[in-house]
Amino acid sequence: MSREEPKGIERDGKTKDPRESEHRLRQIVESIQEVVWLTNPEKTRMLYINPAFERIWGRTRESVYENPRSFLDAIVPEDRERIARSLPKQALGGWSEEFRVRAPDGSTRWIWAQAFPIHDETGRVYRIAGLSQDITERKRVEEDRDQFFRLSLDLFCIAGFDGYFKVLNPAWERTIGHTIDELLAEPFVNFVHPDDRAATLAELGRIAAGERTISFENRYRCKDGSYRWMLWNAIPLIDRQLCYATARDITDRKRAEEALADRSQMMSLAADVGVALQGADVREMLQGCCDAHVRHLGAAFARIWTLDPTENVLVLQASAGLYTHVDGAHSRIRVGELKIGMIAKERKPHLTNRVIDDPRISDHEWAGREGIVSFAGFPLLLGDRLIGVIGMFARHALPEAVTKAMESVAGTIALGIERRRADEALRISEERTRLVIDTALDAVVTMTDAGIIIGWNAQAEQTFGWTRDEVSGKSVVDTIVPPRLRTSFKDGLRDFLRTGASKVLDGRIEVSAVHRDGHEFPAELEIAAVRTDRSLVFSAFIRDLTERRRAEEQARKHQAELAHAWRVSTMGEMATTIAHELNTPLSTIVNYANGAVRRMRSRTADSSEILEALEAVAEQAERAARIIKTIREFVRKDVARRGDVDLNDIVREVAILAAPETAASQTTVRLELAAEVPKVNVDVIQIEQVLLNLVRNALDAMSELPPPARSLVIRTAFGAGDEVMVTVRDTGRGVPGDLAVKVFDSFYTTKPKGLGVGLSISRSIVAAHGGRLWLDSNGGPGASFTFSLPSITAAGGSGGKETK
Amino acid sequence: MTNREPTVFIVDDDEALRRSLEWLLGSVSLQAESYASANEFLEAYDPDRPGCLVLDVRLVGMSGLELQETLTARGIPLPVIIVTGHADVAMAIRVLHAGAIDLIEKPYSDQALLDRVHQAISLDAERRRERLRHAGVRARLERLTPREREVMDLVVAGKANKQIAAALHLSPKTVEVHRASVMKKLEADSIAALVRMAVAIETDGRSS
Repeated sequence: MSREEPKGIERDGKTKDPRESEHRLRQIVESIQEVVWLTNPEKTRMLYINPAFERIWGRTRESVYENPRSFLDAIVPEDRERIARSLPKQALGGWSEEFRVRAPDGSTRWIWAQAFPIHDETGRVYRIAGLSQDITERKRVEEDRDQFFRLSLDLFCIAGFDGYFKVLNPAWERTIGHTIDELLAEPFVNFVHPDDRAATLAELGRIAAGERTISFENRYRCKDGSYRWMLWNAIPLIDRQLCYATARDITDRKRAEEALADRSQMMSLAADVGVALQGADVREMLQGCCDAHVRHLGAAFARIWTLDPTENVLVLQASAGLYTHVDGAHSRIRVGELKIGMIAKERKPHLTNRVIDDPRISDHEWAGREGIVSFAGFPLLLGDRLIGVIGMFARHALPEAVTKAMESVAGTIALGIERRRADEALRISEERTRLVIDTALDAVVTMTDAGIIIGWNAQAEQTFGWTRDEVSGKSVVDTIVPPRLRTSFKDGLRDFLRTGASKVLDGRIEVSAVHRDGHEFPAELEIAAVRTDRSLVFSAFIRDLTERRRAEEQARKHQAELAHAWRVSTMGEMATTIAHELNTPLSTIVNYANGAVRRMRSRTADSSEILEALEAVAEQAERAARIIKTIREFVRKDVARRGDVDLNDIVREVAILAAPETAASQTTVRLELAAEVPKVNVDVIQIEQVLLNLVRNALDAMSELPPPARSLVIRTAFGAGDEVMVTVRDTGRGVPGDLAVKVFDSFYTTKPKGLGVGLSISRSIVAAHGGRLWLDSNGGPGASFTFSLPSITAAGGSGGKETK
Repeated sequence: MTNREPTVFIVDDDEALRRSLEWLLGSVSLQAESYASANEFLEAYDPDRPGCLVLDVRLVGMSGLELQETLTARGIPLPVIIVTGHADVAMAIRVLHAGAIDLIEKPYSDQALLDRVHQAISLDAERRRERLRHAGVRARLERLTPREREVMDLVVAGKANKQIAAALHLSPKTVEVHRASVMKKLEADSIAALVRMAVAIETDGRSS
């Protein structure tokens, strides 16, 4: 209390001379900073006051000696009365007061004064001693501290280890609304957020063990039921079983932080979902999305189903977290079934933080066992279209931020699935296109609009003998067109590629192409324009016609052989009637010859008679020769010689060939020949064969009729479209409707004899001439077959075109 | 036309052949007439004209076979030689059954044809003579009374006079008278001649 303890006091008891000790004491008292005084108990006399009074009070010691109560005059009026009234208590002991005095210079000083009664031997108070100290500095500090304590926005407290607050500053009331008294009445942990209580008690434990708390956070309940975040620093005072602590309301910062955290969570989720959506396939993509939900949203597990619209079933595609299998009970969920199916059906999210009470969650027992608390499920929608469902279970309540984050990526996932499906469809289609091109029988050469090769499939390598690498970047014309044709081809291609002239685009044209080894071959060319992102490219489809030509030649040869065999067979069938036909001129000749011999022998002959006979003989010999020639030509093998002929001539010729048979069957034959028929370019023998076949069929069809009813008409006509037509009509049994098609089949016959190839071969012969053969419906009984042939005017004025 | 010379009738649809055949027959002084069809011939033919028919089996319209059958049906005994380009057994049987005297295949040797033609003409002449003879017998038969006819039939059947008398309830004397009358009326000089005459008529009547 006193800064300078007088040294003489200790020795004072040992000193023998009281005067000397009093003098030494006085010297000490005179020099100390505090005011020391001595009065009589009645306070009517100032017995001593030291010089410090003058410095602190700013008044002289003499003024107090003269008027002991005058020291009261220096006390500020607010404190003066209180002090004056308390003066009598000084004699009782323990007097201690603080008050302010105003110095003559106007400044105010805080004074702490104490007074002690001094007793005599009898115990009576005979003096009162006092000590006054200038506490202005200390007082200022205290005042500042109180001010700080009172006015601070931070919350200050002293809390006991017993769990109660001891002291709270007004900031508590301002911050959380409870009065100080209310806060002091209960263990402070009652005000802490239930989720934070355990942590708070643990922290208090650590403080009680002597640790300092720096930046501990918890939430306090406000009067209105809301919570505010507090950031704590605390210092333990172990010996007093309490701690000094300051808390700061960081709710706003926390909110901002949470918002930031939410945003960063959302962004992390979005980023990871974005990465996942780059996955190789839909399954991988969705697995990545589920992983991201587990990672960033703290899901126990997350799953994604996609809708199979054909069956209206949700198919589990990915699962992450607690469960990673995609088969099992929930691998296929019908829309409308279970919570997932309901989300799909209603197209609305389903959120719950109380799984145990949620009627839509079927397996509460499971949820309880696994500690599952919450569920969030969102439909994956593109506009109105349902793509799938994402669902997530968690072991903690899902704050809004989490469900918001889920919702925000649901659309992204839906879009991702749809894009990937489209990509896959496109990729499959591209793959297919590439496969088609590579496995195409045609050589496919892709080129730029400048005719530079950019694509060359496997067949092109085969067809032209160049590998893809060898020709890439080269001119298509220089590669596949024979040198002699290059200039004209280049011009044509350039025009085409530039103008996209639809003529070549639409149709196939025949060109000559050249192989690497220099041999030329006929090829069929078709060019298609393909528009790509950047430009127009052209695909040329080229087919080597060598094989086809060979096959066509083979087919022609086969047909010719077959036709020949058939003709020979026909002649065999006709042998009897042909023999008759030949016998007639031969008999005639024999008659004339023998008659002439007889006449000459009997010398009854005159030369004119003989001459007449010989002429007749010659004539008949020629007649026989003609028949033989016709037959020989008919069965000759190396036919297939075309010429421009009059169909009427062919009809007449066939009438001669058929004459034996028509005569034998006593059939009336009528030729109705059009007056002027344009010529046709045909193989005469083959067309004769067709016509003869029709005639003989007609005769067969009438064989069961009585001879007068047998009538055959062969008619020629010039039809529309510059076609010349020949019709053979009989009066026979006709062709029933159900056989009308069958009769043209090979080996179909209603006759007891014959191969049944006639109409089939006839039809192919006519077709090879560019014509048609068909069965007319005829009004009356009998059948009517017609074949048409293009006239040479229709065929574009062909003149003696020869095929071998 | 009082032409009693035999004529070779030719029916063939081939004109050149007809002319050549006429010419061949002419070379052996045979008279020939030719027709292009069966109908043409039937219209023109007088059954009293002797000769033979050379017929091609294949004709337009009525066939050779049909013509042959028509002639038989009309009782025209003209001998028929069938000529064909291609004979088969069935055809041969049919034409011979119908009464053709032969079937010749084309081309034929002139001698074979001429031989057949001569035979046919002879046959025709023979047939015509026979027919004439039968005609005389028939005329004489018609002179007999019914009773004389009855008696004749029994005589031809080889019955004795007594048996005839019993069968006809006549006296043997009366039968004797009728029998003499029959022999006289029929100009038969013996029972054998009478029997021959009766058989010829019977056969003739049956065949017509």
